[in-house]
Amino acid sequence: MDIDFASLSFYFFSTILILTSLYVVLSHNTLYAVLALIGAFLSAAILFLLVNAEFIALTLVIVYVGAVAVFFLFVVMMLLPDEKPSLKQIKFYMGPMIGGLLFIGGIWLYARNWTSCNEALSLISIPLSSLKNIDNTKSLGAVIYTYYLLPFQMLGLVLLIAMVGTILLTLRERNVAKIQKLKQQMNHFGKESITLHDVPLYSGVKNDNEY
Amino acid sequence: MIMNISLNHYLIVSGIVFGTGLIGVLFKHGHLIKLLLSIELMLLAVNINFIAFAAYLKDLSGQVYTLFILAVSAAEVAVGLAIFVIYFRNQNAPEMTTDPTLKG
Repeated sequence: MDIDFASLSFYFFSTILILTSLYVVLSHNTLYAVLALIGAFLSAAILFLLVNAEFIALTLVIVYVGAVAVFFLFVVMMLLPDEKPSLKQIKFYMGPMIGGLLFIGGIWLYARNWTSCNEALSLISIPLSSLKNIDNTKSLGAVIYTYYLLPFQMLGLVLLIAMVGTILLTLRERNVAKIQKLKQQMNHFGKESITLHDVPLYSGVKNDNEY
Repeated sequence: MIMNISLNHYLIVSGIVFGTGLIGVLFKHGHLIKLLLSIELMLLAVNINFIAFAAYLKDLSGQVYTLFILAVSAAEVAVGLAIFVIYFRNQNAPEMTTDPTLKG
């Protein structure tokens, strides 16, 4: 028996990853599905750690578990009531199940005999051997701010647009608060609100617009 | 029994995760939120592929692309959940399923 720690933890956490992702898809409780997704992300982060991608692993934990999954949880707990599985749903599951299992089988047949062609090795743009003795985070930073500067900036733009879109979609104006409406005030003229009448003696005024 | 982790192991794991995500997307009468969760699973599988190939080919650009995918999918989740919230608000529906009012 020659089992090292790395391969043992690979098998353990990949099993957890597959089981939790199956639970995400198959469970009827959306809240539990989101919690299972958090488990899947955590185990995927450990799989990333095993191939020395520390920065990506920690980013996955911080961004996904810390932000995206919590966002999911907020929405699920805010909006969704309890739901019950019905027999009608299970019937509809058969088609996608067969399709997905066929896909997995195809992937397995394909990936079992994987070999990379020689041209792939010549297409390497940033070889790790050029970044020796530099840790993962520093080397990623050195690459992102030089070779990938423009995509990185565009990524910031994408996030800004997503933020603006989200705020615009969910913002609604409530007319509860008594606020001074400046625009309405400034566009109001005296001629519209005041009418002058020539009042004849001893006859009074007939009220045209009844207040 | 020698257990060496090769590229194929990572590819098979990510293929299975992608397949489960695909099953979730193909479900016709599932919740809309679960659809988004399944898309997240598929993106995670793609990320695993990128990281595995980056480690196998000793190329750092795979990790850079993974970083980009993470940010883009975070943006996608934000906009998608905002759409769910306003959909729920407008419909006052007791359950959010994929119904005919949402095209696609």
